Amino acid sequence: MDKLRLLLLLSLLACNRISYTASEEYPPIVPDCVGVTVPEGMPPMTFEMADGRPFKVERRRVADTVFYSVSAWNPATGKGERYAPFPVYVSHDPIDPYIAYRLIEPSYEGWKEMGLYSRDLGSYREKAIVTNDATGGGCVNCHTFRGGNPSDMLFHARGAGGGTVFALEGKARIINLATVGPRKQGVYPAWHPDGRYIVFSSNSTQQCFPIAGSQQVEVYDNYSDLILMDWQTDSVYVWPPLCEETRFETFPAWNADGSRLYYCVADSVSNVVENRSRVRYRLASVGFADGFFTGEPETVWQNDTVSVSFPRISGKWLLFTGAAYGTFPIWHREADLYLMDLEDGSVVPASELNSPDTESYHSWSSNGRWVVFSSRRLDGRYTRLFIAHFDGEGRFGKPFLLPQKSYAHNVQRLKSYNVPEFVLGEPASRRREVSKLFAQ
Amino acid sequence: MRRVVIPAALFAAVFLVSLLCMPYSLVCQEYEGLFLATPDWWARAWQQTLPVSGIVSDFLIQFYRVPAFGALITAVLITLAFLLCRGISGRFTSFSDAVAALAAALLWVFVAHSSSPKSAVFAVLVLLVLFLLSLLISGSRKQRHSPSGCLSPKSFGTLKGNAVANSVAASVLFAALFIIAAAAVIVFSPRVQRTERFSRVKADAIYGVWDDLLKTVPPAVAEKDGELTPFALLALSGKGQLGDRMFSYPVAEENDLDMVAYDGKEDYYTSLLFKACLYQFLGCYNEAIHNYYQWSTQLPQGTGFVVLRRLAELYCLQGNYTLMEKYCRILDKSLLNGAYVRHFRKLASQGAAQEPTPAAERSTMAVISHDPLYNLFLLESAGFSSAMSTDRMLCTLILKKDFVRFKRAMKVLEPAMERIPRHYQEMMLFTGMDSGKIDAAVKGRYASFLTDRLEMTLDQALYRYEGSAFPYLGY
Repeated sequence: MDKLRLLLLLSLLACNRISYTASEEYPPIVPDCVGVTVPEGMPPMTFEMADGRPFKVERRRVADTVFYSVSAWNPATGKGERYAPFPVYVSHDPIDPYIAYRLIEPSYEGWKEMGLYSRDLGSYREKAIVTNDATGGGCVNCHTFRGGNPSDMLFHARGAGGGTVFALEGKARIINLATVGPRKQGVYPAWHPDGRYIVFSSNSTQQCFPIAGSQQVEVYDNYSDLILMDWQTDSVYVWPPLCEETRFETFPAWNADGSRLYYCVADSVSNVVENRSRVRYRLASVGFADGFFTGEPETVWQNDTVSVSFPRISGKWLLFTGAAYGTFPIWHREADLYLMDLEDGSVVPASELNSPDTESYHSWSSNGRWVVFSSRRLDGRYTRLFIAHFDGEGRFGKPFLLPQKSYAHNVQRLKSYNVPEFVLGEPASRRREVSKLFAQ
Repeated sequence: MRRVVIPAALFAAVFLVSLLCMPYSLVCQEYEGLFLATPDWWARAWQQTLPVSGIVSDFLIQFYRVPAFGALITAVLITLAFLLCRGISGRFTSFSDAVAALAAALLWVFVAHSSSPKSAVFAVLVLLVLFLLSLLISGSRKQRHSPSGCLSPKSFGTLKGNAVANSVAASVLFAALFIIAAAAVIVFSPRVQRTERFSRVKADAIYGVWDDLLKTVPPAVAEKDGELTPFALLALSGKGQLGDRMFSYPVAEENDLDMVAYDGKEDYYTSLLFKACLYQFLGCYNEAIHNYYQWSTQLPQGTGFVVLRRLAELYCLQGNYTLMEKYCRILDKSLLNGAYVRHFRKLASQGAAQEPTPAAERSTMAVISHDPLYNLFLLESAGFSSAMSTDRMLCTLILKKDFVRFKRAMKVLEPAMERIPRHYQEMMLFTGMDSGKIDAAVKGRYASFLTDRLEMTLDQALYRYEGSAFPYLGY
């Protein structure tokens, strides 16, 4: 029916038989693309009228701004309405050509299909890196690329025979970290800039389900520690200050030169479910040199009303997610992104990126000029990806929704995007290698 | 004549047997199926094994929501298979009717025992290809043997004579036998009957059609199929009769009421649906949504029409119209859900949107556990109290033989009860509580039970005190 209406409208528009009223307002569209900053070479923005009306759009580029002119039928006045052309700013700062993410049903404990996928940012093309049919249906998660290199990656593949898959230097192998060294499972990884060491958090993660209210899931850790892996020797180490029984240590992140490890830490509580409001993570760091942690861990930032997660660093800037409490902000509607200047220690909310709904996982581009982050602002449940420009001076541009061929794709997709990471090239499919590893 | 009669008879047999013996099996195929005109659906559809048959069968399953359409489609597919098979075999044997009927009968039996028409669609597509090939081959043979390209029926009749007529008659007879045999196998198949019964139970439980559910699962059926008992007890809860009739069913443990023991086990799939229905009718929509999501991950495509419809409705009831609209837009990408979508949108236009729960309130919100009794207490204390939750809570205490907490609860609840359900009365007598609302007949039976218990075995007590809680509580 909508298509019929659109055809009718377009044919009328083509015949110039519609009289227009010019509006000085920008069109009411979803997603909000008005004034966003996009990289050069990004496919056009796709959107729809917020009230579902059919519309016509024309694009015109003037220098570094693309103006989108939208005309739509206004049933109230019985006339066409031509809205003020809205600008989309084009930045010349290059963006890494691919992002990688996981697609999964936002379905509590279980799942049917999930997989790691890559998306070409210059087109709408999405390809599977590995899906869980290669792992016998087990979970695949926590992918990360060494220095953004698409050939070197690791991810966890759970289930029988599972472990951490290292696809490095043309060879894939699987190591179950829970069977080596201190026998701790690896979860959130952080690859040291020199490529040899990886810090993993080791979390005992659980879920609970509030009986009422708008939050339907709470995810928490019963304990968590940090472990260090030297992947050249397959050794795993623990360093007691990062494995305190009285503390939850998680979300490791290296600074640019790898001289410090940043992470989140909270004082442990008994009966985490009941005391979840008391679990508030702070940002901490510790020195690192030649494969050893140095000095004492120190608190970098803490706040009585903000629980820190996912610190991610680019140069002197550290972006983190802040929620009211807990360690899994994606289910926290109040979760926002915060920007910290590591030189002066100041922290401000990244207001340009935030919305009334959840903002959570995020990742910097290799040049630190773009950020991709996950948000639930479209419907409150299905996580979608947004990309924002960063000027290097502490200011973000207005973020835009990862473009799809049509906006409706975001509505119709029944999977959430997890853990978006920029990648410097197209990641190869790992399906065959992983299937072989699991077959062994 | 025979060319029409046999396929017509087959069509009629398949249609009638499908419609009369397995209507809910067909409906549930639609519930658990999915066909959407979305990029993700198509991408997934092409990745499955036998994608063309899969896509065609997913398309057809949409129509199964009306059992007559499902029966019609099944009949068309099986009859098509018969006709194609006869067309192929007719080129090689005069027993073509019998051969085709045997093939169609086997296919029919297989389809009736599977939960998808995919195999029938696949068979029809393969037979169609074979039929076209046979046409090509026989065409070239005819050209080689006869300059005119035609075989004279007259000479054919002269050559074969009565033998052909006899074999054709035998073929028709065998065809009829095969069709009757297939129909009998399906009608009397315990598996088909079980699937149909369970599908009916599922459909009734999802939509709360309690009377029909109880008709489908009387105590005698539950005796043979224990997995159905919790659904029957759910129906009794829904009708407010659990406290009176729970022990008319073969209840031997708490699991018969709440399926808790199935969690994480082989029958996880069923217990998830059960919990989704239970919490939905208890008014605890968060937990109903949780379990519908979990159940949907067990479905062939990771979700199904019924899940999308239930999620749209539950989010609508919660006042989360954004998510409701999302599911409506997804359902709008199917052929036959327009009426549902209009219904939900109308409901949304009349309701009030839910306000997000503040963080401070969320952080202290009680959480659901794996202990059903704890959850029922929680519901009572969290403002979800209903006759159904109270009834289930007290019946769980009976099943747990938790005399102390039952007594404590009844002290609070009994004054407000106009009439005390039978099993509560029986439990009260066991706990030593007295009340003017306890029937004299129940008291009398309790007195005789105390005497009988000294000399009766449990089986004898179950027989004599059928439908009563006494044997359960007293042994």
